[in-house]
Parts: sequence; C-alpha cells; structure tokens
Amino acid sequence: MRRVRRTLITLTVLFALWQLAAVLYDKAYILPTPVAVFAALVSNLAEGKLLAQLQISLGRALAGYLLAIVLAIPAGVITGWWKLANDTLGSVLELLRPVPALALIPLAIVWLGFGEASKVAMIAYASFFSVYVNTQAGVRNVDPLHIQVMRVYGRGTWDVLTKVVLYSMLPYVFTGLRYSAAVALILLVAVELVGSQNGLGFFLFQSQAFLQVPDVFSAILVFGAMGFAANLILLAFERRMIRWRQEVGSDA
Amino acid sequence: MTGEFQGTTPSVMTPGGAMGQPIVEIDNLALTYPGGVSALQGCSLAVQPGEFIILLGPSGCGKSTLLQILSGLLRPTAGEVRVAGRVNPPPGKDRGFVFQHAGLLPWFDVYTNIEIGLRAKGLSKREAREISERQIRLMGLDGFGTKFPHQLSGGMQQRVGVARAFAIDPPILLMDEPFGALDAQTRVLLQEEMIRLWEGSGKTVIFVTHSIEEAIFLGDRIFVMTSRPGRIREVVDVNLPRPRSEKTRYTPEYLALDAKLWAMIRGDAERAIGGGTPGSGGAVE
Ligand SMILES: Nc1ncnc2c1ncn2[C@@H]1O[C@H](COP(=O)(O)OP(=O)(O)OP(=O)(O)O)[C@@H](O)[C@H]1O
Ligand SMILES: [Mg+2]
Repeated sequence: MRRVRRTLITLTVLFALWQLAAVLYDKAYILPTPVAVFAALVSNLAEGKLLAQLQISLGRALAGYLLAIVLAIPAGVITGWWKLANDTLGSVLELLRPVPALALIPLAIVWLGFGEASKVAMIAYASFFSVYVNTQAGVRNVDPLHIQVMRVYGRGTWDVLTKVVLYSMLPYVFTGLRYSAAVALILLVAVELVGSQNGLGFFLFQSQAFLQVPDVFSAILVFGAMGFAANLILLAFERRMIRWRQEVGSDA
Repeated sequence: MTGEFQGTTPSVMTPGGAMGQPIVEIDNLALTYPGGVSALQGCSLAVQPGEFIILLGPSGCGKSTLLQILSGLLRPTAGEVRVAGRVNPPPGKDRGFVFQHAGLLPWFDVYTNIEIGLRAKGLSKREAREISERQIRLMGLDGFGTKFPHQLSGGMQQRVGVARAFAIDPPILLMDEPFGALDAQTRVLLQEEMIRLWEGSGKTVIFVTHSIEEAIFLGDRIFVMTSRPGRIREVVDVNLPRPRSEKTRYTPEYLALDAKLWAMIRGDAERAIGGGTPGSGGAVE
C-alpha cells in the first residue's frame, strides 16, 4: 500500500514537471503537454481508431507468441532431457540464438512477403529463445530425488516427464514466458514500423510522418500498457498454476 | 543355494535360530561410481523373511548406495543381489522405499503422493484412493489428504513417506534414514509407530540409521558396516523381547547393547569428526 502511494506521488511529480517543461518550451509539435497527450489518447480511443489498430496488433503478437511457446516448450524439454536431442537440435538452436532477430526482418520479408506471415514468423522466432532456454534450464534442474522416487515406485520415463519434470520446470518456464512477452512486443513494433499497412506500429509511424506528436505519444502509451498487462496476466497465471510454491511464500 | 551363502555370510540365523531361505541376499557386492569412488567392496549379507535388519555405519560408508542397489535404482559393478531369488531385479512393487527427507513431490497433495506406487500397480483411481485413505487413517493423518507437503510438519511428511511405502503392501521395506532429519521427540514417536505397524505384518525391513538407539530399539539384527568402501563388519543380534515399547529403552539388555555397539563404532565416529573426543554417547550423528 505504501509502495502504491509512493509510486503515485512520484508519477504526479513527474507529470507536473513535464507539464511545466512543455508549457515553458512552448513547441507542442515536439513536446506536447501531458494534458494534450491524454486528450489525444482519449479521443483516439473514443473514435475507435486506436482500438482497431490495437486489435490487429494484438492478433499478430499473440499469434507469434503462442506459436513460439508451442514450439519452444517441447524443444526445451526434449533437448533438456535427451542428450542426443541436445547435441543435434540443441546445437543448431545455440548457433541461431546469438543472431539479433531484428537483423532477420529483411530476410523474412523477402521469403514470406509483406503480409501477416512474415510478421508472425518474426515475432515467433524472436520470442522462441527465451522460453526455450528457460524450459531447458528447468528440465536440467529437476531434483534427482524426485526422479528416484518415481523410478523406485515403478514409474517409467513418460511418468517422470509428466509428473515430475513438467511441474518442477514451471517456474523457469514462466520466467521465460515473461521475458519473451517483452521481446514479442519489441518485434511487434519493429515489424509494424517496417512495411506494414495497419496495426499500432503503423499508426505510430503515420502519426510521426504527419507530426502528430500527441498521437505518437498515445500509441507509445498503448504499447506500454500492452507490456504491463502481459506481465500482470502472466504473473497471475503463474500464481495460479504454481500453487504449491506460492503458498510457501504467503505463509511466511 | 543355502549351502552357497553359508560360506560367504557371517550369520544367517533367523531370530528363532532356524536356518531358512533368505529373502534378500547379497554376494560379494561391489559398486564403483563413474567418477571412480569405490562405495562398496566385498559386501555380503543375507536377510531372512520377516526380519527387521539395521544397517549401521559411518557417514559415507555406502549405506544409501547399498539400499539403492537393493531397490533396483543402481546396478552393482560386481557381485549380485538376489531378492526372492531374482538376480539384480529392477524396481518393483515387492519393495517399498522410504527416503530420508520423505521425498514427497511438492506439487501433489498427500493422496496423490501416497498413490504414486499404487497407480504403477495398475489400480484404478478409486481403488488407489481407498488404499491411500486407509493409510492416512493408519498414520494418523486424517483430514490431510488434500493438503500439500509444505503444509505439513516434518514428522507428518515422513509419515506420508512411510504411508506411500506401506500402501503398495510390499513384502520388503527399504528405509534410508527415514527419521534422521526429525527432531528427537518426533523421531521417538515415529519409531514407536514403525514398531506398531511392522510387528505382526510379516514384512522384511532393511533400515539404515546412524543412531545406535534407533538400531537397538527397532532391529532384530544390526549389520555394522566398515567405512568406505563399505562391507559388513559385524552382525549383532538384538535379543530384546517383542512387542517392544518405550520401556524397552530402560532394560539392562538394551543398555548393554548400546555400550557394546558404541565401543564398536566409536573409532569410525572419531575419525569422521577428525580426532578423538572424551566422553560417551548413545548415537553417532
Ligand atoms: N552419485 C554419486 N557419484 C559419485 N559418488 C557418489 C555418488 N553417490 C554417493 N557417492 C559416494 O559414495 C560414497 C557412499 O555414499 P552413500 O551415500 O552410499 O553413503 P552413506 O553411507 O549413505 O552416507 P550417509 O550416512 O552420509 O548418508 C560416498 O563417499 C559418496 O560420496
Ligand atoms: Mg545415506
């Protein structure tokens, strides 16, 4: 509660300073006042313009992100558990990982065109690695005692994977999921700034071209809100799914 | 078969004194870990059905290793283990295992933890639940079936670990310092519960401990091991009458055994802490 109050006070002070600076500077096309930004945000939302773009962007981000998860978790489990998979698939992925995803956007456009495919593919590609790496780390950090318990009671590899590994890796997976959500957002902006005909990033690009700086700010705020919401949703999900650990914390 | 192991094992007498067919037999067993650590060397013993056997030995002498070989988790490097006539059997429902730190899966409730071995036996969910329900009652865990391990005290967690082993109703129980991590009072209470559960059950128990008191209170025979690489150094018969109870601990026979065992392993204990200390005690921790 105290933290919320302090945060609010800090924000109020910052906005007041911003307002003061903008008024003194007096060049609204470079630095609009926060009041003007807020007004632009409200009117853009009310007109439905922003929401329509947001919907398109959310669709892309989610499609890419979910695709990444669906591929990264199994890949992390397989390479984390079987050495053969790690020496083959794992090695290839390790070689791809250091390449900055943004550098691949031109290639994605050449291969997949300017449509949705290249955008979703880029978001998926970039979001893949953090989920993959964290899942793999989770699998490798399984307590050997828990595996022994399963084996000594006659359970096979499938049961070890589904009843032990799957659970014990979850905290790691969620760390990866949250990190990847941020990466997905970065890629979303990037692919929409580079040759897109719609979406929030396109709106941002256009607003800048027409020197509508309050609109630029409103798009930035919406992107920020997306990232904030994604993190909150994932944290809530994590708390829900990892009940056995969460209660340890809340007891203390 | 009987003639064979007579030569290699120090004592194969049942509590009654009769010679029988051992249910667990270890012949000249050796285990060297991949890194080159020789944990067991020339280890032999034979256990009669229904015996409560104690493995007592200094830390790191290979007790857990031996139990893991018996459970089928580890394969010996040399020699063999025979369980009910089967050579080096894989893990199976004929052996229950109790781990030192309970070894519960933190993401499963008490029911599911107890049922881990039952589902492997091919029982239906309902049949398994009936058995775990009964185990919960036997262990005094009523009402805790849907609780998670972190919501239980250490003693209760270990009761769940014991319940999980008893649930599959195995003829053989392997217990690796099951009460070692508990406080002294809880430990004594669980020992008494263990006695109550085991006496009359006909189960064969192989129980690892560091504690001389625990060894005498629970065991029929105490197998004292050498330090690493471990093998059986001596077998001490515990001729205390059953059923045993708290009073057992104050009988002269009990105290004499305590002194005898302590004298036997004192050297190892002193070496383990790096020198001699005056005074005496009942347990090597
Ligand atoms: N997985 C392993 N790899 C290599 N060495 C091991 C492994 N497990 C145990 N050891 C070594 O083998 C020896 C015997 O270990 P073990 O755990 O069987 O001893 P213990 O008698 O159970 O000891 P404690 O009383 O402390 O539990 C020790 O020296 C230990 O360091
Ligand atoms: Mg041990």
